[in-house]
Amino acid sequence: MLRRIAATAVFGYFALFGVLILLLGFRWNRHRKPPMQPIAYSHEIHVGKLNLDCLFCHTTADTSTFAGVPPVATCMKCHETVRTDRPEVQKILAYWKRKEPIPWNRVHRIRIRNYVYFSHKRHVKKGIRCQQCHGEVRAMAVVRAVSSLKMGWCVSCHRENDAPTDCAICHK
Amino acid sequence: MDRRDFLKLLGVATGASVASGCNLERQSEKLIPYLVPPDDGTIPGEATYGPSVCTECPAACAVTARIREGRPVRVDGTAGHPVNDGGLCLRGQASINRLYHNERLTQPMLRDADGALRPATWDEALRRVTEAWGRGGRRVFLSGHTTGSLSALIDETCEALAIERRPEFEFYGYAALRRANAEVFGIGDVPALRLKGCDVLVTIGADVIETFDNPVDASRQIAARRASGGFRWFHVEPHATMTGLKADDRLIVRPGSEAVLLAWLVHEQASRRVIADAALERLTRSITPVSVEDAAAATGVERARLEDLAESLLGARRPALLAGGVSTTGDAGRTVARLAAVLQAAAGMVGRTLDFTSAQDRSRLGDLDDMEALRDDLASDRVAFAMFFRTDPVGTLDDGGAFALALERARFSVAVTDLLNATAAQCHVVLPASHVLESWADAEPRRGVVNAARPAFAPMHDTRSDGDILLALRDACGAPAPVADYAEYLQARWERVYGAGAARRLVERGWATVRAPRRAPSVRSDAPAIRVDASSPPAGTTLVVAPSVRWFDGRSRQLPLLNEVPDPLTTVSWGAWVSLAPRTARRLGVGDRDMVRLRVGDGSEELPVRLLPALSDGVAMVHKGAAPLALGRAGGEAVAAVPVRIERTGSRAPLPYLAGALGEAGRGAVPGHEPRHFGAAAPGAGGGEGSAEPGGGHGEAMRHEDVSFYDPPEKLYPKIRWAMAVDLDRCVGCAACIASCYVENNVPMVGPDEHLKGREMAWIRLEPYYESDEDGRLVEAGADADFVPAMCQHCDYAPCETVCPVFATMHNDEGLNVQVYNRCVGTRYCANNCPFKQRRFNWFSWNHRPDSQNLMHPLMVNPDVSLRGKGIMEKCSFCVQRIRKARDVAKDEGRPIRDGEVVPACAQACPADAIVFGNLRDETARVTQLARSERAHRLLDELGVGPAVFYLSSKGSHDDV
Repeated sequence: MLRRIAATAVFGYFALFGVLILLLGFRWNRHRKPPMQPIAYSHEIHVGKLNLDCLFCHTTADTSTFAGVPPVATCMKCHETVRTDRPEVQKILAYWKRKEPIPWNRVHRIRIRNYVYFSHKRHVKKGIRCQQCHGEVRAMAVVRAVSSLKMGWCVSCHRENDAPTDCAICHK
Repeated sequence: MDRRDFLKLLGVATGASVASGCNLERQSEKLIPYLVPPDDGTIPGEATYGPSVCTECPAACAVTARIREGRPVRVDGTAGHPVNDGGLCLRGQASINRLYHNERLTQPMLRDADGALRPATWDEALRRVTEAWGRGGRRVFLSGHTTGSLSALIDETCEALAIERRPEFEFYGYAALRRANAEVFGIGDVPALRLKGCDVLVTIGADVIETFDNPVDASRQIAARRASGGFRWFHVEPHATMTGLKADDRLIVRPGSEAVLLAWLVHEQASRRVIADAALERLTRSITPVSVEDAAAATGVERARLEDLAESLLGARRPALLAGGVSTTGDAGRTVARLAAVLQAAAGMVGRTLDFTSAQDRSRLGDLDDMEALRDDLASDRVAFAMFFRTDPVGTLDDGGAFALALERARFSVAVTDLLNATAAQCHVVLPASHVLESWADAEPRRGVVNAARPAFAPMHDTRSDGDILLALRDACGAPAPVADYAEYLQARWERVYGAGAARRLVERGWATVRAPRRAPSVRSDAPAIRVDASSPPAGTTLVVAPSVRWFDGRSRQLPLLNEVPDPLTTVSWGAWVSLAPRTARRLGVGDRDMVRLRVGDGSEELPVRLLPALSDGVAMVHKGAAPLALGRAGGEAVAAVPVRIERTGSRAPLPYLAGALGEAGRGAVPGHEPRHFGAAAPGAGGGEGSAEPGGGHGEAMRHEDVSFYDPPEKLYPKIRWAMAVDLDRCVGCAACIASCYVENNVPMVGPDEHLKGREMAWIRLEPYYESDEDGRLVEAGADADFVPAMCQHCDYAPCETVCPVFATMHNDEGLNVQVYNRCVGTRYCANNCPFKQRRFNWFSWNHRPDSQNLMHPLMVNPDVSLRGKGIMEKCSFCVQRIRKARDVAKDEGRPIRDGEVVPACAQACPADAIVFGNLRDETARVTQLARSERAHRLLDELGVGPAVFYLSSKGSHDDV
């Protein structure tokens, strides 16, 4: 009897880890998958078909550390009149009417964002194409992360291009 | 699966760190854009700047707010401003803490029938005020010191609403000085210092670099005069202030004996130079004759030193003398102020080094006699409506309790304030005022200079600006002003009073100079005679209540940052204390943290002791705002020095102070003090608190030739070697750098309990080293002191780096000792190996505590600097974020970083321009020049760690400077 209880306990103990690992496995993949966005905005249409420049919406990519997320007003420049019958566009109109910003979900979920200094401006001014890190966004109906943005990934590019690899360049 | 993933799984499997997934680094996964982009040129990620005015004290310095993503994150002095030119004091730097104070009033409050204050709307509150106003009766209005448009609007409002405007209340209102100057010169003002070309400055009691008049202006001028040489500064005081310890000569006099000294000086002056002015001549002759022996006997200062003072002052080409502070209080204080005025006139200072033309306009300012009149009016039921506008008489007055009782008799009272103070807590209605960074405002720091404030952002809470509250009051009472809001009022008034050009400059630049009527006073012929009591003051212990550089008259004690930053002299951080000279304390049988009872007149107060060797024996010092001690009133000012009986209580109090020792124990930490040879030291060397363990010193004896396995620094850091020079001859010890660093670098405020455990987090501290005698024993009373601002020294061969097991701290090729926060695992080896005690460990996630305990508001965070979490080591980074920013700008313009382009927060705050930062590899850089100066010295140089901070001091080379 005692033996059986012990065996069950031991089995349960390890089974618990199995379950935990399984659960973790589900979590693991989560950040590879593109997040659900409140509006099914398509870069494929806007960049691929309509040939909008990245800086048209991400206006501060060459002037600030942040590339900039377009204000709702930027969407409204066109969508006040264009394609207002589409259900996704109507969602934008609804946000605009409610005077609410659109709560986009981050594609790159970097846990240590707080500890890193990254300047879009410096990279853009150096002539690095947006696609080099963000992938061929023009072909993505749903934007997903193509780079890990982990330190090793940054450093390997910095090494290849003779960019500084001093810790204080990025770590703040 | 890589190693890290494996370790993570292992962590889960052992069940030890299931919670590690929900750590503090997780942040919002949302990306919220603007609805409409701001049209004021804001670029997310880039700072903008807006002009404002500092309101932490009545000096009203011009400040520039740094605004990130629409919220101010710090304030600095406005560069190029004629009064404070880029400098700001400790309180000014900390003033942003008031904006983001946890306890700020967020909406109006009304007193219920049961006496409790409850939140209300503006409409309700204004209705209540209007009803009370409409009931008629006598109405009074009391404010703190105001200048410029606010003062004008108060006048208009009081006139329109038939409210009696009482003289303004400032506890430190210079009543004695203003009365004396009115008697002697006919101008009741405090003259502004003009030290250009001045060769001898004598300050009597006036703590010109701490609280007197405009300390930033004085610090700036004194530092500049010292740097150009040929300048000597005497300070005469009964107690101990940073001003005295920073002066070239500090004369400690017996409390109340300053008048005798001044009378002697006036007679000396008269005997040397014929006084042409008849009125002045007559006035001089009326002064009781005092000999040098009398002066020496009364003050307790050696005759030779007094003669030296007289020789320097009276022989000077362009002397300046100021009396004030504790020396002009009490019965003798009025005489001191008058004698000072006579000497100023006789030595030709007025109009040359002391300027009445550009003095601050204090014509509205009252004194404590006015406050007594107000109290009597309140107590005799004559007041139906009392308004307290940004002033706290109950909390500030020595006898605030009596005022509180009187205030209860007022039929209606309303307070305008930002934090609930003792006066507001008693009022029927409390109206919340916006911070100046949320308001339009202006102020006149001097006659002829106007500063303007533009809101840096919309009010955080349901508050209104000072001007808008007055306008709303007029609207509610049916006497509206012909303007829509205060911004419009200001614009119209600026154009009307200062002219269109000045109005434009006020909007664009934030300050303007305007014409001020020239005032060249001469001595009045009817000035009353001056009698001096030359008898020695009675023996016994004297209690001096002095203004504090941190708390001013007590008002700034509300700010957590001004408690977290320790008092520069005693290093006490949180809490109240009484300072005693070690000799006095020994006689009483008490030491640090022992409670004593101070008996003054009928009252008594218990406070813990902190030893302060700079005090003379028989003088106890308490800071204003520390304890409600009623010392009485004379000549419109509170008495600052009274006889006291000090009794031991036998109990102890947990008073946090940060310095481990009072002296430097012969370690050679102070430039000019050679390290002592410990091997041959006499027994008991280094005695007292600062005693060194045997063999603990690193003296000259242990020094040997520089032989190193490391490469020379020139090779390690070939292009750039960031370095700092701190000029101790310029440093005035104001501690502004410390507050500036806290605000810039998100340094956590941890509170008293953690300070007691030695867990303070400051990245820069001001280390006081009190004088030792030849045997290495601390001087027990009247000691001199050296102050060393100490931050991470960014050593060439940093000992912290070699012991870090994870390379979280490393040197970059620009010489910076870099701390990589998210690499740090918190072994604390680095802190143990730092010879300068500069590394700070985060025992908790300070900035992630619940709001009520978090002393730093989340909006106060500077987004350029990481918030450090629990278990991480941190320290001064030489403001690496500012280096990065300068490099960014330089790269945009395709050039190297210029000298002077990188200014760390401490250097930016410094009113004395004592801190210089730059690249040591740049031959022309200022820092290189200073580092090569023969005055340069590095801390603990004999350790061979190669600090990058150079301290400059002329001590040691020639003693007398």
